[in-house]
Amino acid sequence: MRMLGSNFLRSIVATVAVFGIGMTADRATAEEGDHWAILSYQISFPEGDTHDFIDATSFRGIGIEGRWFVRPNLSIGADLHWNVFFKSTNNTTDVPNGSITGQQDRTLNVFPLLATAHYYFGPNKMFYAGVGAGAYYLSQRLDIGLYTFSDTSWHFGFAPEIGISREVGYHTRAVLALQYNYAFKVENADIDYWTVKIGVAY
Amino acid sequence: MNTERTCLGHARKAAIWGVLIAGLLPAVAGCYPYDSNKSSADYDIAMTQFDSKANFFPVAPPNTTYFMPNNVEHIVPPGTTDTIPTSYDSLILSQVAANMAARQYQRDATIQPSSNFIVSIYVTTSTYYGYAYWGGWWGYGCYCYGGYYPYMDPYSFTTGTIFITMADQSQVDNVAQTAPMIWGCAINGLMYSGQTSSRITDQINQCFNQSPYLGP
Repeated sequence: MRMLGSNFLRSIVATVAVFGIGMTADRATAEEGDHWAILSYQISFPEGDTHDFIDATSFRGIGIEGRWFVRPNLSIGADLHWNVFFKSTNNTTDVPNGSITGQQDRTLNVFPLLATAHYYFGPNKMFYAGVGAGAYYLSQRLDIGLYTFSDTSWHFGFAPEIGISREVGYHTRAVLALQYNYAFKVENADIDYWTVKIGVAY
Repeated sequence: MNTERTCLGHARKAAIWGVLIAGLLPAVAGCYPYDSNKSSADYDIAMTQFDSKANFFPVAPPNTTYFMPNNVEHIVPPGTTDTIPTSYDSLILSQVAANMAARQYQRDATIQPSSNFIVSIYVTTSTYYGYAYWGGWWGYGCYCYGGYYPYMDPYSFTTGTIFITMADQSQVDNVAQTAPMIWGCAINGLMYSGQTSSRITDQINQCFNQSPYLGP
């Protein structure tokens, strides 16, 4: 266990170092302000198959995003989220030719890993619209009684987004966005939810 | 001044990126919120299955009959002693009989050629041993692995399962001495954890309540 903990810390240090070096190297070729690092808190609202499994709003969500401006009003980037849907219920659930009743804890961990493009308009890049596309990793778990059923899957999906940003300080912006996430069906279930992002961009 | 601000801006961004990435690394393990205040009853489950082609009332109620032995079968591995407590057997039998009567099935005291169904009850237990790994808390109600001062905690628990089956006597295979099960119920939960009588009663009632096709 100590080895695991040690490796975990090493991973953090290595990751921080790699990104630190990356940003430092970036200074030589880019002008200040030509990329944004966004940290957002996210609230998500399930739809479709996601709603069928968990019909509860998710207040557990976080995202990081990098945007690099290739034109004054156009950025490309990468977007990583972590949205957790959870619901505890003791309703009777129908299964083929039967039913099951018991306390159920239903959890979905969704990790979108998206390549993004955004277009900006309005004064000082105040409004934007864009889309992300890429992989969605889904970890699904059902705890019922003393039993646990879990599954993981990779999906391809996309995420259109509209947002508004406003400079609130030196190199700092407040960001508010609405994103729709849809990932195509794998193993009879798709991923489908809306996300409100409240974030800060540096 | 501008150079200083530029350097400051990039240094801040590098630090911010590092913090953001590091902050998301625990996500790799996923987040599985749970309620740590569950009672024993919260671990009980009642499962039912039925044959969709079965006719549960081959004769008009209240003339549909069934036979149920006056004992509960304890399932234990061959060669081992039966240590399953018998203290709840009569409760289980009476609760099943009460639910059948409420649905207008008449019980035959002995098995008859005219008995439409045979109801049997089985009980089994399993004991599990293991080690729980406690890794610490990572905030907002999530239990995630890879945390602070991990340690292993040994545990064991015993589960009990009650099976209630209903077979159609008109389809008995006399050679193989079997009859197809047209309805089955499995009740599973923690044993030796209190309120056992009320939990057994509730779960048997639940099995019948979630099987409306058993009613006339």
